[in-house]
Amino acid sequence: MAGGTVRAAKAVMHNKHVVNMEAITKTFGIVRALDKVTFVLDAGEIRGLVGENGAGKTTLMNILYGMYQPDDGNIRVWNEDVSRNWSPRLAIAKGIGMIHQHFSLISNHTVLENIVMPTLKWGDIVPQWKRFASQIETLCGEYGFKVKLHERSEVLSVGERQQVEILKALYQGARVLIMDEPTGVLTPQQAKSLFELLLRARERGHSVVLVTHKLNEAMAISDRITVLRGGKHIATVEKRSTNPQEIAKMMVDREWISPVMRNQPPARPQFVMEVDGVTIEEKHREPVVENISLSIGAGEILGVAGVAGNGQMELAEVIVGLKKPKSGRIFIGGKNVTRWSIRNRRRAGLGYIPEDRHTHGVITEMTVGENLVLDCVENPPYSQWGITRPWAIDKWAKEAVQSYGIKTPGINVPVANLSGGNQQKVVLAKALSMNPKILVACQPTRGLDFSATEYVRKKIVECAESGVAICLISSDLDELLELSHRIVVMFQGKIVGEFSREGLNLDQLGLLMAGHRSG
Amino acid sequence: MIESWWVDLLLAALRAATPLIFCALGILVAERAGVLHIGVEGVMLAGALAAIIGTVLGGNPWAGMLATIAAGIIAGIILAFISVSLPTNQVVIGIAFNLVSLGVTSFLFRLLAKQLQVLVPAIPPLLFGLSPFALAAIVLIVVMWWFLFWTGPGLKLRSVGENTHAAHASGINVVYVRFAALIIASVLAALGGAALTMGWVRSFTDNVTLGRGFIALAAVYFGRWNPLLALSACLIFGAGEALAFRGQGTGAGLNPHYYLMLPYILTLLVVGLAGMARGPGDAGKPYLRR
Amino acid sequence: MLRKWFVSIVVFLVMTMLGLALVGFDGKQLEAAPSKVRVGAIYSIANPERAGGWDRAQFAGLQILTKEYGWEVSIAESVPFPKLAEIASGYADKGFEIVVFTSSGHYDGLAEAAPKYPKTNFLMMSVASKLPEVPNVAAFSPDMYIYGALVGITAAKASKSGVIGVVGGVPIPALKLMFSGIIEGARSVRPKVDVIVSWVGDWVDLAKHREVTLLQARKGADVFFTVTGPGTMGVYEAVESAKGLVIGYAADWHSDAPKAVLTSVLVDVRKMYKEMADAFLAKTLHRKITKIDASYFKLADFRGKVSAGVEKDIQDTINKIQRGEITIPVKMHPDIVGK
Repeated sequence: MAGGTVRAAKAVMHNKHVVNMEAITKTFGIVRALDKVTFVLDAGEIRGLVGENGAGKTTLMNILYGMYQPDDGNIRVWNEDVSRNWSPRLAIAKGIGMIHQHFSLISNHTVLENIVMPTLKWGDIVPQWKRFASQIETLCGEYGFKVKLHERSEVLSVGERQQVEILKALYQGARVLIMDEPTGVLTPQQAKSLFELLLRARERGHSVVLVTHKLNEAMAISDRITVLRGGKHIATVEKRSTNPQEIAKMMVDREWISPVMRNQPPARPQFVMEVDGVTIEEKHREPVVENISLSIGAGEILGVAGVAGNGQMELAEVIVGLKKPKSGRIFIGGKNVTRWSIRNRRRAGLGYIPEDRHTHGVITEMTVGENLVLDCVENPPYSQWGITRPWAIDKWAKEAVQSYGIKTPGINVPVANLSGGNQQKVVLAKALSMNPKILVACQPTRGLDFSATEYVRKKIVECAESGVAICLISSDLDELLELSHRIVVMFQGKIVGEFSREGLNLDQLGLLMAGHRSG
Repeated sequence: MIESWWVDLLLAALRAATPLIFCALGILVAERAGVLHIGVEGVMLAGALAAIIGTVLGGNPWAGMLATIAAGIIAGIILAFISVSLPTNQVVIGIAFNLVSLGVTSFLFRLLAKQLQVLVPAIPPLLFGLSPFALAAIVLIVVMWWFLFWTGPGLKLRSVGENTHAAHASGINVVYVRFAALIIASVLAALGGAALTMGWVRSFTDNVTLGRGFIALAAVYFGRWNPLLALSACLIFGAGEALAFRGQGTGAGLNPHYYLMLPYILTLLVVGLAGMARGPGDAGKPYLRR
Repeated sequence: MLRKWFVSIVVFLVMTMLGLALVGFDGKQLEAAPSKVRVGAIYSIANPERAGGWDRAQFAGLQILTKEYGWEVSIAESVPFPKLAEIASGYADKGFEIVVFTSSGHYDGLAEAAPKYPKTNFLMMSVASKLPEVPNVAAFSPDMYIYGALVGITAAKASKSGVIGVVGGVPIPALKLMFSGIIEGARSVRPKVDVIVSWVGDWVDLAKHREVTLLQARKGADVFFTVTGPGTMGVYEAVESAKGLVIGYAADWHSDAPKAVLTSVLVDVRKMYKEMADAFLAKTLHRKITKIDASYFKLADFRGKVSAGVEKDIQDTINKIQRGEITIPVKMHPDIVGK
């Protein structure tokens, strides 16, 4: 009798939807981020949730996890209506765990504290750290994690942090794992082992939502794929019965845009920029960049590959003049510019697209027009005798808005009001308007959607074709492969490999990025 | 003779440090939860007055304690409502609160001046000539250290201060925690005021705290948000004050202003030495749930 | 939502306060009866009724004008020094006959306002060494040195240990003069007496005042005296804690610390203010600095804090000084720093 009930319950369990979100609507200010979106998740499935940037994927998942309150709609978890007063605390209690794109680890706390903290109660005056640690060790063994529990999470690598996040969710007893853009910061090998891990979780009956804008990832491991576009649910399809082209069409509502035509490398490049034996030390006297030499010819695109945090950004900052190298020299057009100021380097023809457009690229509180002339406002025709000439600035700003296709209500609108893609176009227009001879571009398409990405890449290629030497630093391998003539790989501040376009070996590239020297 | 001079100095330093320690405790709780407690000076002042009013009108020190705690809770609710629930810039509201508190306490003191211009009964020392306030301050520092770094709720509190996003994601109601932390912090700061008026000088005047809340703030920063280090910073400040007067009597024949300047120079040096201490990651950032 | 609610509360409160302030202002305007003599008194401190000695004594004097002469007295408190002339002019504009300045630091304000309003009398009721060259000014200037000498005599005779503690706020010239008087007065009756002078560094910090005084007690002082601002209660607390005795400054301090106050060396404000008021009524209030000498100073009740013999001894000595039988030669101690 009892056994029969259990079996019946199991059958019901199997058919039951884990999550049932109906007609979810959410607006931020005047932007409608989600419009009556319905999302149903079954037990034991891996679901790909795809869409362009701004399609509402992350917002939807944040609502499911209780981070945001929906304006309208119903949420049912394990067949229980939880629409009211839904919060992360309740979500965790119901077995939902979310790993955010920007991790929510507290960098000052140890790994153990980070994992255990959410499960502690306000009355836990004497937490049993030993017992917690052994429980986590057991869990680690089960899933094949290797983490140092008593290390401060600040010192962990990105991959390790992600493991800790997953471990945290599993330790809380998560039956549903929401992974928001999990592979953005991982090497191909790390991404592969992450997917193996997710498959293992599915075997144990867990459900996984994989939020991504990378189609091939979604296709690789998902059972079903849900497509969002512009805050609306477009379709949920079985993976078996679809193909990437169809999904892509649903994502962008147009056919797959063909990759930018690769430009031809210049036959005998004349080197316009050289970096000779540059070493950079941080505060703690540890070299973050060690003895790096490279040269870029006119019309050439040099790609710098590497997982974020291996010294690429420091290298870019030294070239631009934001940081001083401990040793080594930098040449622009044959002149030693190592001791030059940023301004003089810019005059010598150096353009810069910074990694983080908010801190170095644009001043978000200032208007589009002001930002566009920020670097050259002291020069004629924008000013004379030190006094600005607004009409000249307006004229050029209007031209730039038109020629770069910046979507803005006007040139007097603060840049903060623009979307990420259009902000990046402002940065691009600003950098290219000086007619640089050398362009240092850091993560130029990060966070941009398809069309903006395509636009930026096209501009970079055009630049190279007109004879500009380009140093392209990116953690997006596809981008590097598509644009670069040569690729160097950085790992822990050193160049560990160089490939010409013809001699490219993808496996080896991945291994080098992960620090494997052999092979 | 020499020994008794040292004991005397140490006791004087501890007397001067006691109100600072209470305030430092309050600042620690608030800032570990991510709320800058600039209003500590104003809360201390309110507590200082409440202690005297309570003792005089209530007729015994317990009434004074009760009034102090009530004043702390009220101040905490006001501060928490404006800086957490609304929320508003924490520095600006702190400064505004200090100004309001100065005005309100002076006004109330004026209304009750006839009754309050007396010395309230002295609280007898409990142990080794230490007042109950001093002993409680030291015990509380150790308890606070244990609470912050060894208990579950302490870890959760620190999480809120370090990273509101992460704390929210782990199911903590950031607004509630900050609200409660500010109330506890304000009660502690009010007790600091009571330690000054009820436990030390036994009377009140306008602006009796005279920047002691800010010195406690400096002590916490110097102590890098660690209760034990903050305690030593408070003792250093107390010793500076005690030494300044002892210098006058040595017959070195220096201008009295030279000695009186000592504590301030010492404060500046100590804070300068502390360098760029890194506080809780999200301290000072208003939190708004979407 | 929450914010809107908050804003409306704030607006309501501000309106209420403004309304109250306006009503209060109107009320005062109506009360003004033109027939009475009107006196405006200016303080730079708050709450003179309960403040330090000199200010408190002046307040008592002003009360005499109201009670015994039926004059109307208006008091301006917490007036910062740069605003003195403005406030004084305000009184003169409204037709006040007399404007009283209560602190020697107010001289510049008096000098600025007096020439502009010849019909108003501007009085300095504190230490003054000069007056502006206009007829409508006068000063009642206490002799701080002889005042100090009386304190010194009282303290030296009441002290058992022979050590006297004197606490000053900030070393200003008037206090250096008074404290020199204390030292000389004490030595005149007890040559081996030890007078410890300490400076706190401010007028207000109760805690510092207390600690300074306590330190003097540790060094053996048993009778104390202080001239400072709101910090006075800190000194009295320490005296009470150390079971010492303190002599009050200018006004009777007995009610503030009944256990600790030995006596107070009072300033006879009644005599001082009556002289002023009578001169005003007789229209003889001319440009003159009236010296407030020993005859204006007297002791408050000892209330049994010393034996009757000692009390009589002190009283006799002071009477002799007032009669001129004993004189204390003026000798400055410019280096009053400590022992």
